[in-house]
Amino acid sequence: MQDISKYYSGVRHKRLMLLVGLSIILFFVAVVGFMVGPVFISPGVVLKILASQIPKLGDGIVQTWPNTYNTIVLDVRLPRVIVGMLVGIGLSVAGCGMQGLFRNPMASPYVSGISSGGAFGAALAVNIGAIYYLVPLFAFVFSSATVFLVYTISRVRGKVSMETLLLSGIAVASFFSALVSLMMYLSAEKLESIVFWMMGGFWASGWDEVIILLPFLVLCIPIYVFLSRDLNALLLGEQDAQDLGINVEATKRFILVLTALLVGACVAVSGTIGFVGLIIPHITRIIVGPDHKVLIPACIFTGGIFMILTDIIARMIIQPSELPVGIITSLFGVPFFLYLLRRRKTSMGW
Amino acid sequence: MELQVSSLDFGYFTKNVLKNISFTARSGEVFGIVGPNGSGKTTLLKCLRMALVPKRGKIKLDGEDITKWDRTEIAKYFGVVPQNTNISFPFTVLEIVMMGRIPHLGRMQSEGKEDIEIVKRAMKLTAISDLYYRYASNLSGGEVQRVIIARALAQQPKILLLDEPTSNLDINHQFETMKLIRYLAKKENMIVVIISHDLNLSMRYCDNLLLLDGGKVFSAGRPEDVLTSENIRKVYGVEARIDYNTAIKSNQITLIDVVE
Repeated sequence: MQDISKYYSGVRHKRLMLLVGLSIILFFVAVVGFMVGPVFISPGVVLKILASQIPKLGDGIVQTWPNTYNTIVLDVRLPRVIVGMLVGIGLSVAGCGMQGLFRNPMASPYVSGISSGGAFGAALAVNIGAIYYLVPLFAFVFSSATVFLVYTISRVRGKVSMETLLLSGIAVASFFSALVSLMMYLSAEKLESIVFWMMGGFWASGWDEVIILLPFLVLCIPIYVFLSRDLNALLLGEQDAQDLGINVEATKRFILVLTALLVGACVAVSGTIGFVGLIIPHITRIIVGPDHKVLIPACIFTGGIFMILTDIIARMIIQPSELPVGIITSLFGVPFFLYLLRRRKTSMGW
Repeated sequence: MELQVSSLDFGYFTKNVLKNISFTARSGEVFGIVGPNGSGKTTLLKCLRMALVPKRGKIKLDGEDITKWDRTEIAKYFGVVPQNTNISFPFTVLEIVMMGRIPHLGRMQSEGKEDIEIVKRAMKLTAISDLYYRYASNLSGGEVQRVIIARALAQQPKILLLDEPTSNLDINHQFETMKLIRYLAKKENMIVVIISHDLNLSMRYCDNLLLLDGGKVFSAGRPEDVLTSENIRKVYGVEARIDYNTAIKSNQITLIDVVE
């Protein structure tokens, strides 16, 4: 029999290698994201342009490419890839947290009605003819508020039943969807911008969006890592988790607040991109197992990789125009989702 | 160490499920809770570790009131083996048992050598050392039961609470589990509180018994004084004969028939 201590450090080593591998893949995918578009830029030039921005290291690089390439890479593709990555990270980590909390494979960051709330906020902003920044602000406020509304509804004598939360989330989501439809019906001339927003995409993404998103991720993601043991224990059931010293109700509150902030920010910046928060945690769980200590860091990489990839496809597929990335994620997402439904209750653990 | 419960009441709404429960369990003792279905055994076990908050009464550990303790503090003292734990996720046995270290570890602290040694020992005591790399979701009911006992032991508790730990086990593992429980009480000086439906096992392996009926203490004391044919008839409505069996050096209960 192999020694347990050795086995234990072996597992840790393997996990670390997996994370390193995923981070390398993320880097390469990002480089591809800088290369492709209406103008193709070779990977060598991309790396040189990026390196030339680093003080000292960049001084020795001689520019052999047109100046417009600098603008394309640094001002257009770099922020777009970063926004895509951040949204992918936010949605997949939030999804991971919600699935752990609900112990339900169907849970996604959107189950608490957050996306419908956000869509309602955005539609409202568009309808009152709001200036540009009010759309993400309204989307954020309404999506976050929806989570708190659903939480308050499901709270009975200090305890929240996850089943009630799921049901009331679906109910509230339907309510907001109906309101969105109503607004779309009543103001046909604004239909296009609402629909565009709801399909989700990164076409308007620049450094402003990076600046909006980054603080939310920097604030929220470490807390998820912080809560990974709690989420692990919760997978064994609420009573077991409590007996292991976990404050179950506080963990629920934390995860819901984090979801509200993180997903609210993502929805505000990129619209309601579907399926990322549902399928990426599942794929990642298949790769690294159910332990949140590795699952959450791995979701950071896989979420980023998936989102950058789908955005590349979205902007390549009907050149010179582009598709909303939400369409691509669902086109990839639905077949996988159906596959999940087929193999449920096998090795996935649901 | 002494776990002292005095005049404990518990109820979900206005109706009390537990009424005026008092008892004391001491280190080195296996303390059994018996009683018919719905008599409040599991509810009492939940109250002991503050998973349910009693309406009235005190729970004291060496004179200290535990009702003010936080979850982590309670988990450092109380190890729990619930009636059934459904492990559906592909965690390895080692990962599950390691979860027993949660109350002792800081949030960002990773498991060290000492934790691994404690976990190894817990797995050795419960005879699951060979299973450490297996997925707990693929194990038999009895094996899962022992994994959960190991997880509770990894908490290094002073009090071990077990809710029908032998219900999923074959006769061999029933004996092994009861012997382990006695070992933990006698050699590790734990307070072991165990709920069991098996009156013969309770008679033989418990030092003291609490017989509950309708949320009240019907009888308490040494097993041979609590599990009398008169008490069994009154509480369970079953006719029983009790003989001393020299082979096991304990009283043996033979259940005859339902009382007409």
